[in-house]
This record gives sequence, C-alpha cells and structure tokens, in this order.
Amino acid sequence: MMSEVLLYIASISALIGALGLFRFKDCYTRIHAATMISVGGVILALVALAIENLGTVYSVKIMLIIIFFALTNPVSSHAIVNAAHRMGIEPDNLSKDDLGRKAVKDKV
Amino acid sequence: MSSFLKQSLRQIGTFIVLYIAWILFTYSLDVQELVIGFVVSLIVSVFVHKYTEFKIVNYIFNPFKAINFFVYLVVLVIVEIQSHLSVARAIITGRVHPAIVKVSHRFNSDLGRVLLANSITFTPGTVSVSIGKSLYVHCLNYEKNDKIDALFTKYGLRVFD
Repeated sequence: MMSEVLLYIASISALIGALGLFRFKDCYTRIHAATMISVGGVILALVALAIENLGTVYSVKIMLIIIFFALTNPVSSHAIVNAAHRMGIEPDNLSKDDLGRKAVKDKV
Repeated sequence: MSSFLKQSLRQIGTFIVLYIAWILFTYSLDVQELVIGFVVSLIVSVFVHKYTEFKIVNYIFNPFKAINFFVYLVVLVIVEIQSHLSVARAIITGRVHPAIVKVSHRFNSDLGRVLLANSITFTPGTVSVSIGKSLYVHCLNYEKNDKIDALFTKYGLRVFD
C-alpha cells in the first residue's frame, strides 16, 4: 500500500520534471527540472522498492544504491552547470547576478 | 618514512571500506566473489586513496553528532518536499525568476562545505554553480532577501564545523 503510493508520487514527479525539460528554455533552469526527476523520481521509486522488499537482501542493496545515488547525483549536476558557466553560456533573464562574467575572469 | 606509513594506512583504510561495500553489494561469501572483490578494491584503492577523507570517522562514532546528523536528514527531507512542490508549480505555470546568488557560509572544514553544496544541489530549485571560499547558487525562484542556506547552515553547523 505504502510502496504503491510512493511509486505513484515518483512517477508523477518524473512526469512533471520531463515536462519542465521542454518548457524551460536555458540549461540553467532545465537542470532544476532534471534534479526533480532524479530526486523525486528515482529516489522515491527506490525507497518504494526497498519498502516492498523489507527484510530481504534486496532492501540492503537498494539502500546502498540510494546512498551512492544521493552522494553522486549533486556532484554531476554541479559539474554540468559549472562547465556551462565556464564555457560562457549566459543564463536567461536573471533578476540578480552575483557571479558576472567579470567576476569569473578575475577568479580563473 | 612517517609520511609513507600514513599513505599506506590511508590505502588500507580505503581498501577495507571498499571491500565491505563490495561484500554488502554482492551479499554472498563465495570464494569467486571474494577474490574478485579483493582484486578490484585493491586496484581502486591505489588510485583513490589520495582523496579519501577519514575525519568522517570522528563524526560517525560520536553519538551526539550522529543524532544531529539524523535531525539534519529530517530537515533535508522537509525542505525537499517543499522545493519539489514549488518547482512543480513553476513548471506548470511557467513563471520563473532566476538569479545567481552569493552565499557566504560559515563552514571551515571541507566536509561541511561538501555537505552544504551537496544539500543545496540536491534540492530542486537551487544548484550550486561555483564553489570556493563562498558559494554561488543559481535559484529558480528568487525573492529579495531570501536566505537559501539558512536551514542547512543552522542544522549543518551542529554536525560539521
């Protein structure tokens, strides 16, 4: 019961995230939608599977997968965004920019 | 000489952690699995032992820090649910106010910085663009005088300094 509800929530949030990939126009805002898929979609689905297999070997393995995923997923998102910023891709219509072009040049 | 000893201790520690992770993953004590795991974790530990951080042991085996870390995880889950809802609303309505904001944090150790940057990137709606002495965060919906890191800093400082 619990795991089914979690699976439904996971699939809905993955669907909304996939919609966001099409609706947002630049790579900085798209990565937010991608994070929504990977956290709300994948991790919730894995938690649901762990609850379904509670007390067996598979739940231990799934928990290990969740830990590794939670440690590595932010690093890859950060690497993509940082590479985009270093390449000189400008974010669209910022209301505030503390990290302008000039600041980056000074830093590197 | 002592630096060599330190290096080999680090390598042995890395090897043990990797081997335990391997055994948990395969979950069998077959000779075949054990030998393959031994060889693979030996090779991997040669390459990665420079980057491993063993200070985390001081935190894991300290019960107060462990309880505080659990509290931090609960806070993270609550923030996670809130930001999922707000990003879903932004996607459906299409209204965004992106901004790159400077966050000056108060963590001194690398572990604390990693925890803060990872938590900020882990919640949808905020991504850390550049990490250094201070953190630069790209926000999807920024309102004036928003403190992005307020909760993470408050509860994170109780775990790592």
